[in-house]
Amino acid sequence: MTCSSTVLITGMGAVSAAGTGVPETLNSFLLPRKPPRPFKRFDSPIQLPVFEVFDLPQRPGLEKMRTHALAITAAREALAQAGLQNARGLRVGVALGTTVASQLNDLEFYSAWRTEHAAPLDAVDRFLAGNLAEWIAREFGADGPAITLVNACSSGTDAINAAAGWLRGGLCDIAIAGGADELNRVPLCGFNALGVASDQPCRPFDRDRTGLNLGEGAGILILETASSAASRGVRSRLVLAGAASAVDAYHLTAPHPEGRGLRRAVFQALEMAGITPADICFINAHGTSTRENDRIEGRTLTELFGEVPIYSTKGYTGHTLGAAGGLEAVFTALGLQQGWIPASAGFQTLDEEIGFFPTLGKTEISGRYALSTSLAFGGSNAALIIKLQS
Amino acid sequence: MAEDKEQVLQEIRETLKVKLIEQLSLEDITPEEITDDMPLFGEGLGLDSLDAVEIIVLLQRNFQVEVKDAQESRAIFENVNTLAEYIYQQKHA
Amino acid sequence: MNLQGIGMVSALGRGVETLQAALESGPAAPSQVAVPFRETPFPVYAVSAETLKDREALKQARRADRFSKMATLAAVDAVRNAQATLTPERTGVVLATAFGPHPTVFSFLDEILEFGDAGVSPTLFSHSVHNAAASYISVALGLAGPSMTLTSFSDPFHQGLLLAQNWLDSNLCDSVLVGCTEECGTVLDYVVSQKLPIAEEGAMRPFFAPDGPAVIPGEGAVFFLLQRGGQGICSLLPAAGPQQDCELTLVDFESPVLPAGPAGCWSHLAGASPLSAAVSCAAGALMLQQGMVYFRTSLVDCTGRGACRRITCAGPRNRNLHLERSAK
Repeated sequence: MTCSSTVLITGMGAVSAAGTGVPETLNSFLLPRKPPRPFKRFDSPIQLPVFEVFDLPQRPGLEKMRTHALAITAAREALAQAGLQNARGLRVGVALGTTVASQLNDLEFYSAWRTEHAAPLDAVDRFLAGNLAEWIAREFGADGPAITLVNACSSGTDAINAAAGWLRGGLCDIAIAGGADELNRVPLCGFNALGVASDQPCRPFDRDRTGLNLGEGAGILILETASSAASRGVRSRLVLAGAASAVDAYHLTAPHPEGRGLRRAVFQALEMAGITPADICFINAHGTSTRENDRIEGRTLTELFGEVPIYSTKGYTGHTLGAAGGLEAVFTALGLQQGWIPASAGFQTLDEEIGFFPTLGKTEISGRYALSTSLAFGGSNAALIIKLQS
Repeated sequence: MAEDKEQVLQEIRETLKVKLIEQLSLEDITPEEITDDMPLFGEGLGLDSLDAVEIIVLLQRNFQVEVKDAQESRAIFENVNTLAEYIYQQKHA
Repeated sequence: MNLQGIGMVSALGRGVETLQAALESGPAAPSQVAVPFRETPFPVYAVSAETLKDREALKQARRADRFSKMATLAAVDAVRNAQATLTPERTGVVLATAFGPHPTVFSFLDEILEFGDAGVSPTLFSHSVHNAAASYISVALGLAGPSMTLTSFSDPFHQGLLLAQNWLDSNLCDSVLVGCTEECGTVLDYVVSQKLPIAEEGAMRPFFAPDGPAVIPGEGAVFFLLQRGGQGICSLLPAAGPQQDCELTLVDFESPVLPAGPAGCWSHLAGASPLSAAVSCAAGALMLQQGMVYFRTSLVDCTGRGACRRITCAGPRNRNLHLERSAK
């Protein structure tokens, strides 16, 4: 890859149950995890533990647009780190993943409609104005490409991949990329029905794992071409070195038994980065704590990477769906930058079927490349490789 | 008594077959073609993991029967016979 | 990019030939459906159940909803239309939509309201996720490359094309299936009826019409098989400005103005929906392929005929598509 196509990470923002902002997040990675609790914001007979964000800054007008409030909080942090107030006068694209914000699933509106066959349209108007990427683009004055990626649980990773492609293809110089999702009653019902939501705090890769806990949050990267950063006088050692996505073409909700698509996505990302598995110094795995995901992802990753430290941050954040890929890209970059990764929270007992111990405590790492993986409904698989330049 | 049970089971099996086809959108198969001992998963009816969780909803809605334990469900979900037997047990225990 | 094949499923029927026929003869009458929000029937360009029957193409899609079926059939038809043999791991899929499978989302909400939070169908939930349709496409065609489903209200088709172009230019893919899918449903019909004048008598008017718009909601899927090189129907380039020596401009029915010079508006031949940009593009490609031009803005008359080499599909915010006939 030539220097001109180098994609730098010049800013990062994160909000999740692990913390509002990068400093708070890093801090909580060093502490015993806060356990998930049944959701308070809506009434549901499904009393499953979830990872809620409690100290999200209130934003007038966004009371019923929580995903957007999460996204803007992370985007502001990321833009500030990149030395940007807004996108005006620059060529900026926006690619954001989400699941909840892409659906008109306002139960209040819909029950009114069902009873009356008429309903006030404010929920519809919010929805029509609220395409996540278009909304963030308007908020910050970005006029480049804008897409909301809706690839279920790999949406955030795929959004970063798409945005990196724009930068390499010259469609824009800077991109706001990542994902955001709120805790919502509708997916809670859905994941419960699928039998993959646990009534216990999740334990990714553990023998006795019984499923995932839902979470909420936003993770956003500012991606920037090296030449744009240079012209703005901004420096960064973090590079998005590889990104790939590949489908299983196998099943709507189950991963391919041999991790077919995941393998391809990982190999393509390695190829793009120009490295081999031996160059990877740690892996932030998808690790949702469901029986199937962890077995297939865990086995595939150990087979490809051997003894490399692997962890899942779902034990701190829960499964944040469309935000997961964005948050975990931030966590992966932070690992390289800080020289350590946290314990894979929730893990206790080795699962012989998977065959590896994820990180048991704070783990020092040394190396220049790290991998983040995502698997999703629809057989979507995505991989990112981040590099720390000297 | 034994005859009564067999009659109830027969009714449950017939309803089950109709509901399986309806709710799992099974194509090219009639209730008559589903035999009582035909395996539901793999070779047989060819159902998958998504059908398995859908059957739990099917049992709730049509028979008011709950399946809580995923491990337990494996034995129950073997074929129409085992499903019918489980429904009967739950209703007449 | 070269456009190799087009697949289209709409109220007109299945196959891009149905669009060709509608270009020649105008659209058929919409269906009139009973809706709960008004006493009189509501006009809508709906895809018939018959159109969505195809045991072969949908053999692994027994659970698929209408959104997924429309998308899968259009994608399969685009490959057939191109007579292409695809390399699975070098073929990408981009599905762009504004609304996604909202009737399935509403069915899932029905379940919550009728059966309670803990009594809902997991199958319905997994189909309410936007990328279910793309998953069915990859299974039906045995694809193994990248697949992305995206939403946009302003210009879904254009954004999808930019992504496809990126994958082809960077040599990530040899072929990309890019398409749009939208579905009608009672709730959206209601929303449309509250926001826009409905063309009750059947004749739609575009937004630039002197007496203002009148719409009939439509649905369907349009897919395009794109490749970097090779002879195809035409070349296709997303661009920010005008095209040199352009002989015809196709505008979207939502365009507030009609551009100067020869122009046509065919984007709502299968009803009004965010599919319009993709329908326009398909219409332009057909004109180049057939060597015939339909440049009247009315949906009833088609007067112009003659060979044409370059067509521009004008999009919002100057996001245009340049179509150029392949040299034979």
